[in-house]
Amino acid sequence: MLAGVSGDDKALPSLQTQASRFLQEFLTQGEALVRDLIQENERLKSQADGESPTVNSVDVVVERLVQQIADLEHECHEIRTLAGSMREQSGGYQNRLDDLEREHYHLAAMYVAGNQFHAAATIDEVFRTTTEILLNFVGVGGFTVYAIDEEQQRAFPVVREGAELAECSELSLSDDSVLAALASPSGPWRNGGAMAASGDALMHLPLVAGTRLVGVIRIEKFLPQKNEFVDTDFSLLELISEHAGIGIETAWIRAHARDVPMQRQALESLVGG
Amino acid sequence: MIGRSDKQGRVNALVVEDSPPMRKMIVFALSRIRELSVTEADDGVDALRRIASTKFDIIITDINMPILDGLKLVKRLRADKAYKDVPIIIITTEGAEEDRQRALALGANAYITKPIQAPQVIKLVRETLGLLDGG
Repeated sequence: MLAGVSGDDKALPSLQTQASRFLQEFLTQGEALVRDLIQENERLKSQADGESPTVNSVDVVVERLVQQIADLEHECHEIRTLAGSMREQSGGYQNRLDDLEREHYHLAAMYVAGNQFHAAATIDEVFRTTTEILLNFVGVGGFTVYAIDEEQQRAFPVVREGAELAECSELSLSDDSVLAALASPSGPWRNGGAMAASGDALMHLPLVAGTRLVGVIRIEKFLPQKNEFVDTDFSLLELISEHAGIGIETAWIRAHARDVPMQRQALESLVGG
Repeated sequence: MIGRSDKQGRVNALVVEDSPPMRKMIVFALSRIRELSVTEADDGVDALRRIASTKFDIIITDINMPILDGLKLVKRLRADKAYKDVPIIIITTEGAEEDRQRALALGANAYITKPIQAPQVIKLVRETLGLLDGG
């Protein structure tokens, strides 16, 4: 198998077949040349035994041999060219394979992240999952997660990465211009939507359940090895905006409704409604 | 190539990571290497428990973990005759240069920085195990 090409790659056997075929032809021609040389040698020997060869017959033989050598060199050049293009093709397949691996990995990251949010039973678990995804999947090294106090209309910091939580103060949803713009969302954040950057914040990501703002993530800095968002990051940010929001609301409802016994009449009205 | 341990002749790998999503993603990346049989451990203590019952051919471990962190795990493994030469790859964050150097000094073979990417993990594990590409 050629290095860097997956065993799953359907193109690989054809490359191997091509290489084998050319090698086979090359060897067959070489064999024919050796046979010709032996035959010619025999003929010259028998001529030498009988009569001296003429200068002309030697010239013809030499000319034929030179021609055969030229043909073989030409073929050798063609094989080398083909081998070079096969190497290039192989490199292309490797790049494509790497791209597919990255895409595959991104889709798996989306699946795992969504799964983690929906498996989260408490608000703490939702925040932990959010932190892990931002740090490990997106590559954000500094951020603050704010939860929303709907009664007081304030956002208060609950989780901070890359700096002290105590250094963060709560914000008013109406007085803070960035939060005011996020306070009545029409839905979760989508790629292409406003980044709501401000001061030292790269972005403010709303956490939304339906059209209810339940939290905001202030993204402050990337990890040292990263300096900008890429396309795959935006789809993860979309997922966080929607699924962390739903996770927070669900965990909130669960915390307050877990002890309420299920009743047939209430359930039937829910099923019917 | 590293000796193959399990009954199907596959290489036994242990992934030690306390963050479930991160652990799932590392396992996912490693699942692309057909020769590997991957076991997961929640932290250093869980890793030692699993090592007691199974011989692993490669260990990939996070550094920051509760109770028994990655550095202590590397130290414990290198003190164990059975794990003296088993390849250990550590997972770190870019800023954790000191931890990385300590882990390498304790006997870790290589490191990966977060956020990780599947091709990077696959390539490093293949190189460490001496596996051919595409298998």
